[in-house]
Amino acid sequence: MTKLAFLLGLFAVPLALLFAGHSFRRRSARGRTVFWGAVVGYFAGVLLATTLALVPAVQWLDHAPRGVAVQWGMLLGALLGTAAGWTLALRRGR
Amino acid sequence: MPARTPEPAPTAEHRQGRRERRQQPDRRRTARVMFYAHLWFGVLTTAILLIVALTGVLLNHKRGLGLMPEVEHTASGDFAAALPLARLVELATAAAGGEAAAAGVDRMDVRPGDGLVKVRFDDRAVTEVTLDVVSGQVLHTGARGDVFLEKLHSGEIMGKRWVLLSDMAALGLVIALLSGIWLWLYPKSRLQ
Repeated sequence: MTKLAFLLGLFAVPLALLFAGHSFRRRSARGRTVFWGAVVGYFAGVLLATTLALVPAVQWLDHAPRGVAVQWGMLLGALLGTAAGWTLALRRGR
Repeated sequence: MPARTPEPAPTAEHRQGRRERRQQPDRRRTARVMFYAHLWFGVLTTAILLIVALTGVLLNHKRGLGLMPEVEHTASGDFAAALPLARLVELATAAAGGEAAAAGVDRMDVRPGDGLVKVRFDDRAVTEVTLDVVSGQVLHTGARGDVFLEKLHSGEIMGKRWVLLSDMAALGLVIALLSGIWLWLYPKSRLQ
């Protein structure tokens, strides 16, 4: 399950963002806010996962917090970013 | 009705222009392929290549960053008088203790010229104990952070087959590089 989450974060999320960005100009204001939320969230997840993967230079455990953050970070970052973008869009009345 | 003047015969310039106009659709198609190849492979390999680049830099400076212990030592006796391997493993295991001892020895790196042996354990931190081969004195005990980084760099950290992930990232990078060079060298063919 963790390996699947890692693969989804590595490939599926960038693919989805590419598709979503392809018709960016034709999207509504809400759609654009959600898109940027997903992009920011994803890259924050990438930075977090990369940092935790390297520091310390010791093999992580799949069930420990560090291991969970490394393997789920990218996917969860994108999902949280999407949710944040959606919430922001609702608050702005878009 | 005035006579229709015949069209002049095509000159070399006319023929070249016609050839270029025929090549335009092909060139535009190639430019579109190159553009999307550059975009898609670039985006898809971003995360992996970020990890590969960072681990590569850290591995280049592993000694300076203290990721790999550097033990200076001169042989305390003749190599022919070295302790048996099993005895050296016993001494190293006693020095390592804890998770390392439980994990067992992964490999031993014998340096006859320096008169030492590096005993590496199979634990998460990749503990390494350096011993004098003749006296059995423990010279250093510490983690081999560079081994973990090498496995992360190659993708082996997730399992042996996951090295294919690094191979895919390398292929994606090459495609992104070649398409980028093409897009740079043929600016007139870029998408309008």
